[in-house]
Amino acid sequence: MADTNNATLRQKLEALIVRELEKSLQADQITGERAQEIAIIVLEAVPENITDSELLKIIPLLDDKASELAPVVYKMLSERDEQERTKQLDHLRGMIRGMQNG
Amino acid sequence: MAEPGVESPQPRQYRRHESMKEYRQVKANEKRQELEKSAEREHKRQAALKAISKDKPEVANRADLIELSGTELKAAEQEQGEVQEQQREKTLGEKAQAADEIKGSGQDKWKPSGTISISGDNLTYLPNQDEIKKRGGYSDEAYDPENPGNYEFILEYEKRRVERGLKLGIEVNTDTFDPELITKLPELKKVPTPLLWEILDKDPSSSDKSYTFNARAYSTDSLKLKRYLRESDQGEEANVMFAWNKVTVDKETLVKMQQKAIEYLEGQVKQGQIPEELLSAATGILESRGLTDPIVQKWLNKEGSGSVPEDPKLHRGWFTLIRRWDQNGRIRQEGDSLIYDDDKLRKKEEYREVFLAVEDKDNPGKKLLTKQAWEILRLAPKNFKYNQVVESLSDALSGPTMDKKGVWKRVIRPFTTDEETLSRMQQTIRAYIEKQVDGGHIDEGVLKTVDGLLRYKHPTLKPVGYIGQDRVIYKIQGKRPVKPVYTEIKREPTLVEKIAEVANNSDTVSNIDVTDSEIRRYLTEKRLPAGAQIKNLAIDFNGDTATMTGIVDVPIPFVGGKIDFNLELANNPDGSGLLVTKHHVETKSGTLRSKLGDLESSLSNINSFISDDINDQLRYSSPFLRILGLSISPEGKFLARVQNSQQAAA
Repeated sequence: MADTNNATLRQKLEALIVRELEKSLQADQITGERAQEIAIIVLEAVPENITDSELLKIIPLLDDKASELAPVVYKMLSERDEQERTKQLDHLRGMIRGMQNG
Repeated sequence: MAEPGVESPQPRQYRRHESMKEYRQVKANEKRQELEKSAEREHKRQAALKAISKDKPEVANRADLIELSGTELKAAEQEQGEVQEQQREKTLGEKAQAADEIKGSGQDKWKPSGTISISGDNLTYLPNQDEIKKRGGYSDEAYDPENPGNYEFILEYEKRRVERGLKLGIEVNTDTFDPELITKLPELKKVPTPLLWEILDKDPSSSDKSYTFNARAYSTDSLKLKRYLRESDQGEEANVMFAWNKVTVDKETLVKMQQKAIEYLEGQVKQGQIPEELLSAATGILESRGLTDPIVQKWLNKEGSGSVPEDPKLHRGWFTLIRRWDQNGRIRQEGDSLIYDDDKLRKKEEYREVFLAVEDKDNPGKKLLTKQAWEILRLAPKNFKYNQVVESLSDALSGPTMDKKGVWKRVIRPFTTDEETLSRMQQTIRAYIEKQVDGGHIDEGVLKTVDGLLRYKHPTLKPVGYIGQDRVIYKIQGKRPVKPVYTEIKREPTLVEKIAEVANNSDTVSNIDVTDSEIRRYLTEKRLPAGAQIKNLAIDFNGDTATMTGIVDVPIPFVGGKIDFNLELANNPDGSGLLVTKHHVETKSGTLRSKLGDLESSLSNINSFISDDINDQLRYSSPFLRILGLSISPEGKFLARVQNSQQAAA
């Protein structure tokens, strides 16, 4: 299960990066050479067998190496934060309900 | 004078350059580089995009990143190559082809006042602009390309002032050259055009006042003009190029052109486009100009006492026929000379001699090739055949002869030759030079020059077809053309030919010996009704009788077959000819058996069977001859008795 999640997270990251590169190339915001460089950076930083926790540590570092990936990093991290926040809130709500019922 | 502290007006940007032309070139180069960079960037961008959507355009995944990181570069490089090919500088011919309009003109005249330079693979000529302005017409100031004016008038003026160029070299590739040339001479990346060699071959010290090149010159840049359109009264922009069919130059300009041609070749050698031998061949052509002509010199100086054959007087006739040295003659080298003779000359104990080298007075022990030797070497045999076959190639000397006054003399005989013999002469001279180089008498550079001529100039000078200005198909001079050989087929005359030949000059009636093989050949080649043919025919003589056996083959499907026959032959006592004394015919075919009667009647009357047939044929070739009959001689031979009515009438 963890593998699937990791794969899904990694695949999502890669898909977002590809779409971002495509968008930038189409808008002529980056050169073909730069797109290639970024692809190499990502492939080196994100191996196929990476774990979820490792990937979560790596994602914030990606835009340090390639600032063009900032929108992707922001999106990934904010989604992650949102998930975490929802999870924490659900957990909190559960605790409150438990206390009220108790 | 400018006041101190006051800045003089800022010079125009182009004044940093030597001329407006240079300024334009620099600017054009900058612009081109900028465009190239931008095109390169764009193509890499496109290649990156292509790599991302290579597997499944709608899916974005790791495979896209892998594709982008790895294969993207190759694609970009490949496309970059294509872009460079598209953006390479177009040749003048290509530019002209792409122009909206080509203004053709007859002959162009290049003057010493103009500027001759090398631009890419072209020899360019820029007329003296001041001279043209002085002649009137439009000037730079008056010309405004934005306003459509008198279009033709502007063109007429522009034609006089534009820079024009002639092509000196062609890039070797499978589109432009015969693939055989590329395989055989891989060191040739570029090949000088025939024009380049023609420029070098022209002798400025000759008596000619001007020199004409039958080469197409083009303006180097297109002229953008607005054409005046009568119907709409609006100008339409046109890209106009100029073209000239011929170029005529004077001596001074020719010398400049030759210098530039050498300069071009030097540049090509440095770039590794052509081998050094080729440059050496080109310079060799020019250097061979100053050489003295030992024959003419001796003749002009009236050297030679005429007392001995070794010191003859030289004589040149006012009207001398140009002898053609051809393939039937012998070419050989003796001493420092090339000797030619053929059957006609040998009958008169005559020969022709060309001096190949003379002693170098400045360097004892060294020799210099003569003008004659160079004249023979510099000509490409293939071209020679077409262009100069009737012209004199060079001078040769006849062998020494004694005149009526007892003076030994040698006559100067101009000669020409054919392509094959010229090629043989060149090889003989080359072998001579090699020997002299080995002996230390001739510098090695000379051999290099000759090799350059034979290896690079002559083989590349056989254009077999021009496709447009820049597509020249050359065929390498490899195998020499084989002339069709007509050999008389030796065959035995047919029986009819033999009879006609012998009887034509014979008496009224003659007996002609006919061998059994002639009869056999005649009968077996004879076509019988229904395609039947006599086969396996054997004739046995026994005194004045004979036995004839054989098969009549009737090749008709289903109903055909073979008929065996046997005839006993003897002479008819009444003297009319052969008589069948006994015959036997047999066949296994039922159908043929029913026809045996016809065959039997023909065979039993063999005398007229053969005679009538031969007479039929003689009727056309020798109508006055008639064969009366065949008989057998006591010696066991056939005799044909022939009547000659022409002789009888005489």
